[in-house]
Amino acid sequence: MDYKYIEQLLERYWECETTLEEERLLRDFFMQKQLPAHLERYRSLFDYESAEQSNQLGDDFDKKMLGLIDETEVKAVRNSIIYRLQPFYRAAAVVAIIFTLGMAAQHSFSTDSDSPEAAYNYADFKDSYTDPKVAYEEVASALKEVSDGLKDAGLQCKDSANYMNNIQ
Amino acid sequence: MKKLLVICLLIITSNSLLKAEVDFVGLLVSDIKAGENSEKEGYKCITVSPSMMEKMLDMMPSNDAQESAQIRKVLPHIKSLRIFNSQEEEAEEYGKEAITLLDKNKDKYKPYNASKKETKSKIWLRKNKDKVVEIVMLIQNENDFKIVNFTGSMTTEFVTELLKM
Repeated sequence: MDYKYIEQLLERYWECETTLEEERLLRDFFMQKQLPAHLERYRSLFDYESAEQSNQLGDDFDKKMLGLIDETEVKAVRNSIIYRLQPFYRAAAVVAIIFTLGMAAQHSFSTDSDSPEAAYNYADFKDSYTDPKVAYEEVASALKEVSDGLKDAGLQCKDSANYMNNIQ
Repeated sequence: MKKLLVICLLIITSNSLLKAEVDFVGLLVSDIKAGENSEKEGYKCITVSPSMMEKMLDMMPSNDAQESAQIRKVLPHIKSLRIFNSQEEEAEEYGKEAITLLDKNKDKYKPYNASKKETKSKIWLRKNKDKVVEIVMLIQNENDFKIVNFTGSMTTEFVTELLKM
């Protein structure tokens, strides 16, 4: 049998010049049971290639892979609102501490001072009059009443320096 | 951290509550509103706030009559005025309620009577250190009850000038 054609194909194969069809011919040739002795040494190479050719992804490959993906459940880590608000709590705590210290300082200073604002909260005071002149008349009248009341209570002008002593 | 925040909030709340003092008329009105007579409201309340007091001071002319000049000396010592007035049948009831309230707050309000004689009007004073910060005057007539309630910083000089009025 003339194996010249096969040898030529082999030559071209080593030179990487064979077409896919020619490579298929080579593989078919080397699948024969009986090969000439000088070509027998190449059988394992083409057997391997044939085996690799048949070793393709099956039709059910995609299905299997998708099945595996579905099985692998990726669990999202859920952070609770409390956890997410933690930076806010910290910031609020810092602000609260500063505010508390500020208020405590202000309170201690204002208690030391003689200002009546230290004792009273005038925020709720809603004026009954919009005209200062009308308010003035009311205040003047009230002052006169208090003045008379103090006089009735026995306070004389000359004793005014001691009026604090008469507070029971 | 949360505990710390809660503690701070509690301190702030208690601090602000401690600061929120009200004058006597304010106390009485709250007491009336919380009590059985809440629906009757047979009283009138007049308020002159610190801001109005300032406006009054700005408004006053520098050269004025004797009385106005005297008021000008007294006004800077006063922060606010509240007048409670009842001419209704509840007047007597409100009078008793005011006396009860003053008695309840006797650690704050001290009765003032130099002569120890019985008078138509009765005065209570509230002190803060060496200054009087509140004057409460109760005037009880047959069908009329009135409270004049000043707050401010009422020193001896204030009283001296007030008595000249």
